[in-house]
Amino acid sequence: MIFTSITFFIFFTIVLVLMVLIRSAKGRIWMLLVASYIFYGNWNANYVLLIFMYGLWGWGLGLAMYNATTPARKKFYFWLSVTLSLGTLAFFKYANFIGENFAQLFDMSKWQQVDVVLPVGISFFTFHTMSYLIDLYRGKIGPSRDPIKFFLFVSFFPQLVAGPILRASSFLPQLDRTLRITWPNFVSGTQLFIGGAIQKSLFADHLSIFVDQVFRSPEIYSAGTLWLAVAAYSMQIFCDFAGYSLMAIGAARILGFELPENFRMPYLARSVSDFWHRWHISLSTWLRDYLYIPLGGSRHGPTRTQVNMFITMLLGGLWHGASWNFVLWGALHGLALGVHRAWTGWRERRGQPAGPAAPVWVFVGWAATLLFCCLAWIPFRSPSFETTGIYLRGLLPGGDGIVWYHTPTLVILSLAVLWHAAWQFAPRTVARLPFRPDELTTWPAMLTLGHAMLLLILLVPLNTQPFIYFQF
Amino acid sequence: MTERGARAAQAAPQGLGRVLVRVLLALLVVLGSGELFVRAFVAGPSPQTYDPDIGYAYRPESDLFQSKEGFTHLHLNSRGMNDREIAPRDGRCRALVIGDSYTAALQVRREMNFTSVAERIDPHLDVVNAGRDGLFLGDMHKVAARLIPELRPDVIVYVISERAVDTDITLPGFNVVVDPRSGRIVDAVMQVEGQETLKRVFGPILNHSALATRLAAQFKPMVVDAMAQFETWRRDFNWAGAAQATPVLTATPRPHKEDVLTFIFRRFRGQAPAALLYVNGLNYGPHRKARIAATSSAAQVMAARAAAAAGVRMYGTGAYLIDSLARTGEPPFGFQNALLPGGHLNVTGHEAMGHALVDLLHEMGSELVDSCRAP
Repeated sequence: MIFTSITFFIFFTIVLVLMVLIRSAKGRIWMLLVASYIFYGNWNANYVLLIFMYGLWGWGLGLAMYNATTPARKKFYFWLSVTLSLGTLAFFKYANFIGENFAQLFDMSKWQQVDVVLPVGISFFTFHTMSYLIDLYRGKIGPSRDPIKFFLFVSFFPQLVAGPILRASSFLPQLDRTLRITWPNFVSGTQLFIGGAIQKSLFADHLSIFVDQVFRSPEIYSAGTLWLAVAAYSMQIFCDFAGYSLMAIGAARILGFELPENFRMPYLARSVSDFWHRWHISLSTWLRDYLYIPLGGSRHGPTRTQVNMFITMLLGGLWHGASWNFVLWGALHGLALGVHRAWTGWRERRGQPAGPAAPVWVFVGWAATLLFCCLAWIPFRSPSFETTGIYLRGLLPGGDGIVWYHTPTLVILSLAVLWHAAWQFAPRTVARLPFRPDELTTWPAMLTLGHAMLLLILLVPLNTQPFIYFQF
Repeated sequence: MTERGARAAQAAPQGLGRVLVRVLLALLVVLGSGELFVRAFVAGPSPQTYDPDIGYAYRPESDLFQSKEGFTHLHLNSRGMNDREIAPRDGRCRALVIGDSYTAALQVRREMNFTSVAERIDPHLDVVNAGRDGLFLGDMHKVAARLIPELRPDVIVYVISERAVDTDITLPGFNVVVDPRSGRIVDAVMQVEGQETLKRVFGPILNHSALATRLAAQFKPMVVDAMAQFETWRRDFNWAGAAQATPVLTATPRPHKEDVLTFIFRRFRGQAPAALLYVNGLNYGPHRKARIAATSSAAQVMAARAAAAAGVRMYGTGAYLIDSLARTGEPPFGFQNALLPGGHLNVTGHEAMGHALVDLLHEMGSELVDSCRAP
């Protein structure tokens, strides 16, 4: 049940009606929990048990850890919960990857594939549960005593399968106040949802038609086509994921919840470090708080800092999928962050100010970052190392491949450039969106929203593509 | 009630009325600009009209605009064909070409499609294009039966492809009727689908509004998906009245594909001298090279056996299409605004197909009337 389907529309309408009809706060939480399980069960009913188990051990071991009388016991419960969460993730997501690589490394007989379907969104709800348990262990938050609220935290349907990654510290308190649907939340949430749907259905899905074809057989295309496909994929993955996140935030807001911001125009970043403050923010902050800092962060000198950063990005890459291509993508970003840090340090040592640089350097920084991020998407998107190699060789001029400049892709990329330019140079205009409830009957609002809805309905590709991040 | 309260009570309905009028006006503006936008950039009103035999046909003298693959404005003739008006044959060899979207060729200008190319290559040919997108293999003989009395073609060429011979005839809606006593196939027909009935009902709106046509096309799959989902829920939760899953195959084993094809091809032969032109799919390699796709080749072999059994000649087009790619460097299928390569024949592909059609007719010429023999 993806957000852009009519099935989700019916499902969400029923949830809204029930939210209005059910008067008690506890009843609404129960209803949202059941709705979340139905939402997940619609994809695979058997795995509802899995997400229930995550809730059960997260809640149970969390309480046990909190109530533990000795530090040893507390540690035991903590590591048990981490092992259960990571072990389950490893089994479903990495068993075959690890097995195949071990078999290859030690020249063993062929690895017998584990026949298992990867549960949608497992990486996300594993991280939800872990963030709660780690924060609880660190004493940053108190335990959730109400299992229903905790189960809802783990399985809340708007963000269940592709984030943003929730923190217990921001979500659980929202369940303690009165849950209700308000008109202002409904108006702004709906507009966010429409905005996300436009990004996903009008931009990402149309780009995927071109991208999928080119990445399927890059060897037959000209260098120009391959460069265009790199740009198209960079925009596709952003619009797909940011669009999904916006829809999740919008749907949650309609229900009265606030989810964290996940994207802040990442392709306007002026450095790789800046990129990670704008791209998948809920993941990058998760990795910072629960991996980079526990590894030592920047507390043990420059070399160790570089190593910690590299390890964090490497594992961040692996989190996206069980493939060496994702590891390579993570490693590239780790290296780039290292280079950026070394460069910044070198400039500081030379006494150059840390403040804003001259416009020309800002532009160079932005262009270099954009080029790096776009090229780094090649291994991320390619199905194998071999394809990555073919693709990178094809980018060099001089080939005789088929020249294909997909017209809708050119139109969408032009619109994307305008959109980014507006964000950069006319932030006040952008800030007028979403419209406030009292502005809804003004001509600008009616025509903007009317045309947005119409375009969405008219131009959504007939074969709706699943969200890219569902696979992670 | 205070004076202020009374004024407020009076003003409220007036304010609401104004708002409603404004919303209605905005809706009209949005719908109007939507109609203009669709007509300018997406597609024109539907040129289709309900046809009880073959689902739908093109309306005579209708205009067609599409931007899905390529960007074309076409005018269909008084018979609803993507062709010029039928002229007196003047001693020319008349070939009637029947097929699906490859033949209808709505993606290229009329002068560029393969039937026009064939006439350009050999002016002694009068090629009539009776293609219709989505025309089902089992329905092609019906189109021929309608046109033969009027057009009196010297030969009928049926254009087929992998999809027609391998996929379409296995669809659940395709009924193969077998005589239980003899075990022989007596009919093979596609049920007119529910969506065609919808077209009949909404036809008048769709023929005049591009916006309505587009909306109908957009919503149909979503509605079908939602209905399927609802049905799944009904079955999963065992609700009363839940329909059983539609069986993909009937209880009686369906005859082998090749036997079904033989039956259909025999029908073709029974009407007039007939030939089959098989549109091959290609697999592309580096340096603008291609070969016939394995699945296309396998389907072609099966269709060729069925054609031989039915006594109908069949010609492949793979060599022409591959040669065209090698010569021009342009793939024969695909468009810059859709897939490249992929999808329907483009101008390069139609040029190659035109040559294939001419060679087919010349090769068959000796079996046909004098006017059809190669000059």
